[in-house]
This record gives sequence, C-alpha cells and structure tokens, in this order.
Amino acid sequence: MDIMNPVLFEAGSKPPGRGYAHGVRDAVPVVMGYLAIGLAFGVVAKTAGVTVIEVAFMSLILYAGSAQFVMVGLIAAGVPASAIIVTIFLVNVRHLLYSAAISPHVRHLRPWQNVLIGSELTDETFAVASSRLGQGGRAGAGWFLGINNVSHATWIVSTTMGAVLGSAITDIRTLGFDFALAAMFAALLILQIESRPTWMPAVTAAAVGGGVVLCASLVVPPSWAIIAATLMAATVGMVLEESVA
Amino acid sequence: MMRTQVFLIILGAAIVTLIPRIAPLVLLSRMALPGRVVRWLGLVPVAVLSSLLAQAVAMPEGRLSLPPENLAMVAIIPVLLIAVRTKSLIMTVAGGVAVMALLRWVMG
Repeated sequence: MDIMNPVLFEAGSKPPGRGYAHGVRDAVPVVMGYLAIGLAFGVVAKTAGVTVIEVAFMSLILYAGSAQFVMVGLIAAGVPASAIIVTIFLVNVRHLLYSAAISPHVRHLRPWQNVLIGSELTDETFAVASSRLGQGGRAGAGWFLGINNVSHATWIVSTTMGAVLGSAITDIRTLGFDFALAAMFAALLILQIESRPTWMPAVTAAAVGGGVVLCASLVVPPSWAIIAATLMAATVGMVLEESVA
Repeated sequence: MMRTQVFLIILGAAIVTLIPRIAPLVLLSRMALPGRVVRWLGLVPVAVLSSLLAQAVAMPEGRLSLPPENLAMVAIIPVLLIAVRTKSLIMTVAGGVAVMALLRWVMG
C-alpha cells in the first residue's frame, strides 16, 4: 500500500469508515450496553448515597465503568481519599495496553488528536475501534472521536438518569440489555480471529486469555486479571503465529 | 450538591486514569517500534477480547457463577453461533439481547 498517497490509501483501505458519522454508527452496540449498565450504575450510586451531580461529574471526567462501581463502594465505606485514588489507578492501569495497541494506527495524527482519542478510551471503545482497524489500518480522527463521543455521552446520560430515577427503574435486566456488551465482545472476538492470517494461533491465544483471566480472577482483582491474561495470551499468539509463518 | 471531599476524590481518580489512557498513545505513536512489538500489539485485541468475554460470561456479577443462576453462560452458546454464521456485530448483539430476554422470561 502506498502510504505516501493518502487518496490511494483511503480508496484502497477497508473500514474504518472515514468520518464522524461512521464512528457514531460503529458505536451502536456500545451505546446499547452503556444504556443498561449506566442506568444500573446510577441506581447503585444513588443507593450508596452519592448525589446526582456527583454521579454526572464522575461519568464526565472519570468515565470508567468498573472503576466507578468500585469508587462508590469505597466512598460509601468511608475509605480515605488517597486510598481511593490509588485503588482507582490500579483498576484503570490496564488502559496502558489499550492505548499502546492503538498507537500504531494513529501515527499520522497530531499529538493533540491522540490526546483526545486516548482520553475517552474504554474497554468497549477500544474493542470496537481495534476490531474495525484490523492489521495496519489507519484510524480517522473524526471516526475515532465519533465512537468515543457518542459512547461517553451515552454513559453520562444513562448514569445520571439512573441516579435521578433511582429504584423506580429496578428491572431493566428483564429486557436482556445487560447482555449486550458480552454479545459484543463475542462478535468482536470472532471477527478478530477471522482477520488473522491463520486462525489457529488466534484461537489458542483466546483460549489462553479466557482461561488465565478466570484463574487469575480468583487471586487478584478482575482488572489485574485482564492484564495478566492479555500479556500471556498476546505472547502465546505471537509465538504461535511466528512458528506457523 | 457536590461534597468537596468527593469532588477531590473524583478529580484525583480522573487524573490518574488519564495517564495510562493517553501516555502510550502519544509517546508510542511518535516512536519507531520494532516489528515484533507491533505484531505483539496486533494480538492485544484478541487477548483483551477473550479476557473481557470470559469475565462477562463466567462472572457477570463479579464472581464466578454457574447456570441456572448464571444465564449468560447459557446465552453465550447461541450468541457465538450467530457471530460465526453472520459475522455481523449488530446481528450478534441484537440476537444476544433477544436470547437473554427470552431466557429470563422462560426461567420466570
């Protein structure tokens, strides 16, 4: 591919779609999942004594699902501020891996664009974006921001709504929307495996990832289990791909 | 109403979260990375997705649980079939939500 010729490259490259609207469309599964989990978080936070404004502010500047659940638990338990901040850092340090994995796809963008893209990176937006980018794809800044902004906006609105409505909306679970993100991870995993040159190393890596994360979850917090599983699974996958090639 | 203490906790947590989100993206995209590192990073999505999926299916409430309590472990079977057959993200997510709603309805 001729990287020096952007027109040629754009015409020849598969999705990601180019613009902001494409990004918004690619984020639809994330939006469905965030609606369900955001509402649930708002209810939990309100029940734990966190105010509506605090929930909205948390979703605006922290924007991290599992970390926010952990945080309201610690606030409710009266844990000191410094201990909460250290804990949240440990919960969120896995984003290092997502940020690093995205970096080869954004080399052509300006640093401030990469700051904006990184600041709204989550498990789910990373999953969608990296699957669309495939191997060596170049991310459009508008496209990435489209994914990020609509996901973040959904999270702010749904968590705040959950906190306002409180227990009035107890059973959204019956609708099955809480399963949207699990289904999304399944679909993206299948698409990722299909995109590899040969599927055996990727399937093996996925099995290692799933196995390690569950074993590790028994001894370390879930977010650390993801780090351990990712390091091992990606290494196994790379070694196998090299030996097959 | 926002309590000062809570405001400071959220602010501090947001700052320590921004660092791992932004730093590798900005720094590594400026550097020439060895081919092996790039290939390893290319496998991170598969590794992350399998971890996230395993956690979402096997420990939906944050701890390991089995059917009939854990319906996600049942629903994931048709969902994986839909994903393999359709190769469609939207079809899989819509199918997954429908399957889960149906399972909950059946299980009462």
